[in-house]
Amino acid sequence: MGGFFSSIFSSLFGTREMRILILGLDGAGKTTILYRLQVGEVVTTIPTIGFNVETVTYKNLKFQVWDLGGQTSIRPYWRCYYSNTDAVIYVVDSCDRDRIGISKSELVAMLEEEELRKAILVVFANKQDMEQAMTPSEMANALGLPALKDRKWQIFKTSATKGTGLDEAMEWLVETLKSRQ
Amino acid sequence: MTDGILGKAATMEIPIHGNGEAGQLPEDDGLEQDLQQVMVSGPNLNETSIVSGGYGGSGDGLIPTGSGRHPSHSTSPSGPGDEVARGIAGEKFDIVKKWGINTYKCTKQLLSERFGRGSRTVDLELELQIELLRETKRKYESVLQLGRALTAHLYSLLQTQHALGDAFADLSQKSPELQEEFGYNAETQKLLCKNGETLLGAVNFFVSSINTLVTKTMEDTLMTVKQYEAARLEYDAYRTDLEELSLGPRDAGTRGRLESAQATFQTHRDKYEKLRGDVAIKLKFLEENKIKVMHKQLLLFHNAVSAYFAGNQKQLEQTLQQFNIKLRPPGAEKPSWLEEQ
Repeated sequence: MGGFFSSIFSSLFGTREMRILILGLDGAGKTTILYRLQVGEVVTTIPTIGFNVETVTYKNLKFQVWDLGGQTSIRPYWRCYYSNTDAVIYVVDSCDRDRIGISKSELVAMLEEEELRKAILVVFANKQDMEQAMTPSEMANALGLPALKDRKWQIFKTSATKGTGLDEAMEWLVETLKSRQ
Repeated sequence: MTDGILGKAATMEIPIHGNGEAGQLPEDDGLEQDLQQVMVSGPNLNETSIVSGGYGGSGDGLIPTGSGRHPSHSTSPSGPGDEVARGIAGEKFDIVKKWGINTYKCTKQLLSERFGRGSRTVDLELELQIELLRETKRKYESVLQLGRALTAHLYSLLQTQHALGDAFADLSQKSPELQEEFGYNAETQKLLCKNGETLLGAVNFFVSSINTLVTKTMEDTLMTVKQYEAARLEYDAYRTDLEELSLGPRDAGTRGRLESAQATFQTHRDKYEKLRGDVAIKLKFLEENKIKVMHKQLLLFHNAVSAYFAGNQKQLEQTLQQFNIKLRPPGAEKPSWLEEQ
């Protein structure tokens, strides 16, 4: 009975619009993922200077999704957009073995920010359609994810160009955000 | 990039001498809002009072900072529970006291600025950019409203065309003598309706994107601007406080207070400087994003509208494909975006 009423109330009052940041090094696939989420297609992208913002509806939930440029010169300014963030989608190129250490450094620095203290972390091990891709568990270890404390996180095997893995990741994110409220 | 911006942005203090005509309504409203902003968080302290005669003299009406007296320790034995309770109460008391002092100083600074006696830190270049952003946002909000009105008109037109097409089709069945004439009028109305739905999809996409730009992207930068403005007020309040202390006598008591005021001032100055830098950066990023978004949306709008009014159905459909816009038939259940491929 209590569950019945609580579910009625949650559907009646709805949920606040969620703010999601898509972060990661340049070339990881952030903008491709953003427009996959918005229009469901592979959109031709160019390196993002500054940022892109889109309102995305998924399973009747509305998200404002911020895709911040990942080039070295832009990364120091990610911090300007951390306020009120509910979740971070951190995108990593699974084939970029040379730079996964840099990606880890950026991730660790980001997660230490007070403004992201409550943000849920979703890691996309992207470009899994490529043969030379690292496995998600390899990448989780390389990024230091198992060592994270007080952080809700999950890593997903994705290919933004093929469209694989994104649905599972979004499902998990939606359920996690719901259960958090 | 950052060094250039900050280097150019000279900070100066401009004394405000006159406050124009007394009792102007717009200014009073602004003052009211500013006061509410200062008071917005924290407990309501009845003890907080504004010393009306304190602006001329140095040090008059100031509450000394960091020198609160604590009650002397009781001689009766105290258990750990009492200690914990007293600690929590003391902590809360300190928080409330700090909030009260901060609010008092900011309110005093705000009032002195309003009545033309206080000095205010002005970053002219940044403030011009902020005002320009606010004006731009208002204009884009107008475009947004007009865009929504356009979608409403288009929708009504489509409803009418649909009904007219149905009526013609029905009469085509019932009027053998006019079957052909009713028939092709019915077909024309339905085709207009179909193309109109395509145009409506394009205009809806345009409106949705402008809405995101105005209510999310611009609003995000303006939130940072509000934080910056609050930090500026605090910075000036503590700067004024420090200046007044500096002008006073130098003895052992005031020297301690002076050092404490100096440290507090430095904290607020650091916060103000950081937020000033953040605002400058976010304004630049926002401008670039605005250009990018509007370039795309205006191209879409132009191509869709001109194709529709030229009666070029193929070009109209190509426009939507070019911008990856999908039309959703009304009433159809929304599948997962992945299933749409």
